[in-house]
Amino acid sequence: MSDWLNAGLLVNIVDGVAIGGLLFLLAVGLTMIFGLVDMLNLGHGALYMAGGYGAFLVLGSGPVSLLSFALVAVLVLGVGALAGLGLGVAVRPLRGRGHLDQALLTLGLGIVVAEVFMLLAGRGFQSLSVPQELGRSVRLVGESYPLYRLVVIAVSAVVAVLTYVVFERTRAGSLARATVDDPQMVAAMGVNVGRVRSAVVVAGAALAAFAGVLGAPLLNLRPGVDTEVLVLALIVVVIGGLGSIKGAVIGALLIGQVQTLGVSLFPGLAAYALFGVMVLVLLVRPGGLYGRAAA
Amino acid sequence: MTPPETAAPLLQLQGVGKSYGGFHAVDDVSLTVHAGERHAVIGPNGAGKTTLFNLVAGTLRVTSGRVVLNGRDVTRAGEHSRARAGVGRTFQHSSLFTTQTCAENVALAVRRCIGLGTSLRVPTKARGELARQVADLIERVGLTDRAGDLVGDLSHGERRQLEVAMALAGDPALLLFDEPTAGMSPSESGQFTRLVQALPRTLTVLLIEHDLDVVFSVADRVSVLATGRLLEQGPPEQIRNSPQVEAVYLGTGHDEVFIA
Amino acid sequence: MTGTVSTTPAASVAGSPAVTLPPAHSRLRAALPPLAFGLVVLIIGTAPYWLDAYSLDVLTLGLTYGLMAMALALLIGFTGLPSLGHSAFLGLGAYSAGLLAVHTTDNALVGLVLAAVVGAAAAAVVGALSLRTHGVFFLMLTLAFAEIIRQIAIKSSFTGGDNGLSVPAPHIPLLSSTGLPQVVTVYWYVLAVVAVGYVVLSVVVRSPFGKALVGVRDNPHRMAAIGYSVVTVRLRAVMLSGALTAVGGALLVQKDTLVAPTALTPDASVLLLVMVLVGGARSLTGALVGAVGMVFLRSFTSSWLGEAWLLVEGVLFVSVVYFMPSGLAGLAATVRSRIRRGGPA
Repeated sequence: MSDWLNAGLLVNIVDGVAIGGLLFLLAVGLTMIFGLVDMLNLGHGALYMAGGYGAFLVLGSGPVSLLSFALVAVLVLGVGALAGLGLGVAVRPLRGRGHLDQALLTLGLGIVVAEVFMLLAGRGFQSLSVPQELGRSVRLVGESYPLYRLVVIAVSAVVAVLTYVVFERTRAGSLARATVDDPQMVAAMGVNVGRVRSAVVVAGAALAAFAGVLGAPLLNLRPGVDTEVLVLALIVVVIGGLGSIKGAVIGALLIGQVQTLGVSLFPGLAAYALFGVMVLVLLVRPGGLYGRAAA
Repeated sequence: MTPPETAAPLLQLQGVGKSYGGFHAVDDVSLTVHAGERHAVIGPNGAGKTTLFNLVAGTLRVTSGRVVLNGRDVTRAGEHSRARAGVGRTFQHSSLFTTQTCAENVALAVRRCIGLGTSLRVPTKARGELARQVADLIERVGLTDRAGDLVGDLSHGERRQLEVAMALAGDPALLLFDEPTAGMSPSESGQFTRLVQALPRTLTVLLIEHDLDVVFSVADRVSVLATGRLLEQGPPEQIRNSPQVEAVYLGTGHDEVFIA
Repeated sequence: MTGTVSTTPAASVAGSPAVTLPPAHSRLRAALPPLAFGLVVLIIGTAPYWLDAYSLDVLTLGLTYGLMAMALALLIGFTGLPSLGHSAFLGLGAYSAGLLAVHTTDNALVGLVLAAVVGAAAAAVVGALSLRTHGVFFLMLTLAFAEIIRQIAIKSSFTGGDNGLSVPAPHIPLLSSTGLPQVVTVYWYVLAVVAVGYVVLSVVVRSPFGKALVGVRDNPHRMAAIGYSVVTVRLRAVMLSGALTAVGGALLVQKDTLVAPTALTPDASVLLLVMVLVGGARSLTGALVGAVGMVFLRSFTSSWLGEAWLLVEGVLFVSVVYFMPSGLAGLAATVRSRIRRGGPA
């Protein structure tokens, strides 16, 4: 390996995987809620933001132990799940009014949630400390690399495998995916469509809030972070294809690289690259990499 | 009844399938509908009838096999291309524009057919032709008295008639009916049966239908679908007496008993 | 509608006894809509003579946003296509008109034309990429597109980066030579452009094309089944909307002689969205009224709440979606039909 490669490129690539992991945690909920519940949750970015700021309000920006960090992360996961339940209830009155109203409601609720946290935590830049036990660096192919980021990658990978197995490798999962086209048929096969859908919203919301905690030591907490991560997650979903877990993984890893490697190699072109990747994918596959082509 | 086998094939499904992951909603279905034929597809709930219908209409794309219309491969063609190629359809859940009148609904279809669908105004000289075609279609389905009424005020049966008028705009070669008599009263479905019977034999009809009385009084040929696969195909008498079909309907392995 | 008072049994039970209303009464009711219309024209037409400069500037801003809100309503209300990134078209219009003014000509109308062309072209790209599949792709792509346009505005040198682009005051044909104060000149100019936009959009929504848009919104499969190319119909609407929004952006830079990336944040797109929803997405007039109203509301509340005004906006947003899905226009329609039926207004 050349010095040039050693001098940070590899670190950049691994950073990209970590960012990709965070994006996956967001995008997987977004894509599965859409694929199975037929609802676009534009409050997903606000859930991320709420998770991050929630943890910040409890832990502050000072040093934290792994135990308290993990406890707060689990707590946020639970609160996120409750928020998912709440979201399901909140959109219920709009049933029958179509996608648009649902999406708008989630967007509006997201704005309210985000602004409430702005009132609580202020508009300055905040961040969470890396848990002390994970604060050190490890040797990675001859380079020193922050352990915490590797943990983020590992956690995301576990979630990815779990969701993949549940949705794409079990009969209930593939049946659930067929509900969008022909709910009657699937209902006739003895699957409780309603329960599957609520579970997906709850899990998706919990993961989004959890990603907020996990991401807070890496990315600053600041006003507008909700829309920023939402946009990135949406791009991931567009690239990967609606309702596809495999697509969310590939899309998240791709965008993670564009955001890190792309920025360090071509600083001026990062914004174009983001759009360029999306355009390229949509030109070749209008439904995204693993999306269904027709509609 | 005309012997359909002597006519040219109008619609051919060749090994058509639709799967979601490992789950096959429609699995390797091949069938041919000849010009002028009235072909019915029946089957218990969850047999994949609606999916099959959507594959023919172009609402869904097949994951395997080919769809051939009038000798032309339309497997990759979208809904509107198939409509322009001569496929008219009705919808299972009435999908009319309820805040508009019957005439306005039909006019939407006719304007498209005479090339004015997306114009900024209808030229004065085209207005007569538009009105004439709309009135003509509405008369064919027997709704002349209700032409000026809002679709929202129509009965269920009348809406189905209006659906037919819209599907007939632009003289389609193939007319698809998606469970046309679902939710109809017996007298309404009787009237609907007569409407279908009165359609000219230049028109080919493929219908998915629950009501076996309607099927046996309209269809020349019947295909039976069960768990996504074609179980049996033949003239109505054969299907009526098939022990295999009876077994499917009487619930061997299926919770829901088919109610004719 | 004429002034005939319907006396159906249902209406009589609900409202006054089943007698025909006095003629004088019904004449008044018939005269109400034109009266209201005349009043609005009078207010708008005389505003420069009695409004202070600050309020006139806010009204001008309201009208500018009104054009963009109407363009967005064409998509959301009439076509059923939610754009969450309309600030992208605003930005493209503002920057292209601004760059033209800096480098080539200060003629305001040329700026508008350029903005319209750029807006339509960008909309064609976004539409062509996203309209072939699920409608939600459009929503996502517009959002992403807006973020990218904002990033480009921040990071590029030709846009002036974070500081934005300062442009010379525009030369407005006919008006600039009148010697009126700049704020009044700009008001008349903006009013004229917005009025033209209003007429164009009104003609469009009443045409066969407009009916096809509504058809595609309510039931795309039905429209496809009778042979309409849903993609083509939607694409044209997106291009028209993109063009008119870009014109609005051009008006903005011509009015303020400045455009900065802060005008292109997601907040701007959300503000346009809230304007449309508050006014009523299925009514052009509603969107216009919603825009003027929201601009005044923002100017009042943000002066004492600062950034927390966004919370007010968010709560308003959610309440409208829940309780007033057809916005002010829907409310007005309900009131009108009650007056017409002779019941309590």
